[in-house]
Amino acid sequence: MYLLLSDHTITLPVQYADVVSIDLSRCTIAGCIGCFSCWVKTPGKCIIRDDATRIYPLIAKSSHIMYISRIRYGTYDIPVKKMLERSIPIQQPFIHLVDRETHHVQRQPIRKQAIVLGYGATDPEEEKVFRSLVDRNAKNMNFRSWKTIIAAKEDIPSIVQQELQRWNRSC
Amino acid sequence: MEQILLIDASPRAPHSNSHGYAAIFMETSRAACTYIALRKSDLTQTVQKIERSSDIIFVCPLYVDSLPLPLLELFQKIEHSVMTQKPRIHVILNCGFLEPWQNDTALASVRLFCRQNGFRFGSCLKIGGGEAILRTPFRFLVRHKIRQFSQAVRCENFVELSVTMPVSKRMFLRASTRYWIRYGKKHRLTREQMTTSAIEKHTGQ
Repeated sequence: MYLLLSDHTITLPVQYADVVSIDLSRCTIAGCIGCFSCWVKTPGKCIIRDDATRIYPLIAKSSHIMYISRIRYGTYDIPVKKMLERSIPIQQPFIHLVDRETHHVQRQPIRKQAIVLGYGATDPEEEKVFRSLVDRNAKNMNFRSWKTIIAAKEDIPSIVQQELQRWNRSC
Repeated sequence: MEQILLIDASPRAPHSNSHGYAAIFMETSRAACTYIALRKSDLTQTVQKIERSSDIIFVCPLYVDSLPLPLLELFQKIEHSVMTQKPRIHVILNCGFLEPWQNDTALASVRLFCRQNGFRFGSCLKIGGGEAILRTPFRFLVRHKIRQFSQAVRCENFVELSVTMPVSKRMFLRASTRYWIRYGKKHRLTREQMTTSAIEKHTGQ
């Protein structure tokens, strides 16, 4: 499954049957409260019941995932960051080594091809911080391969289209 | 005169490890300190308190390899506020991983925020093994580093410090596994239940 999670509506000129595209700004997603219930009380399940609970299972079972977010202070803007924090149920609390660093074990071992598409960075330093962040995320989010693309907002639909076509051709 | 405001930006403040670190800072600092747990409903008041302070210390955990959402929301509130006084910003970051440098990207975000919004950046302390370190014999290491950090804040001798458990990765993995198994046992869960690959399936106790 190909999953697109974006902080705004992406209109694609071509529709793909196996692409699930979600505009997170239109979802009702509360912030994580750090209760650890998804680790030590109801493993794999968040106690806050809202739109996040139908999205993070999709993240877990996707083989290809694309995150599209405005960049703020070198990190994701609020809609995507909120969803990423609410995706903690798809990890275990237990830790293992990945490239000799400590990281959380994933509940489902499907390794993902990921594209993180950011826009709105103010300068090269901010872009550099964002790229570093995605490199860090790759180890905690089980990315088999990943690409960070930083572009202007108006170019996003065409970039998304291109990348989906690339994914289609490689499968 | 120094007026230090410690802002606990953990999503579970004040019942957070960040509160523990803030408490140690307040014990070791000679300056007047105030602690607040950051709440989305209080952002306007928080910005007003920031403006009345000489120094701000953000204390927070790493969330998804970066700053937690409450702090990002505060940053955006500050950006949309008119502030006549901008205090110096310092940060204490902690992550559950052994390596304190896994906090580096979050630290870079704080520095970027400061640069983009006209705040001076001061000192930082990065803590590894942050979920449990205060409940281990290594707590004294954290106290020592926080004392150094508070001196740096007071003397304006800005530093980048880090501290973690001085154990091998193998030992850390074992200790961390035991920690989480004990935590799950409090809620009558076995290790097998906690390591389930099922998502959204738990039926509750």
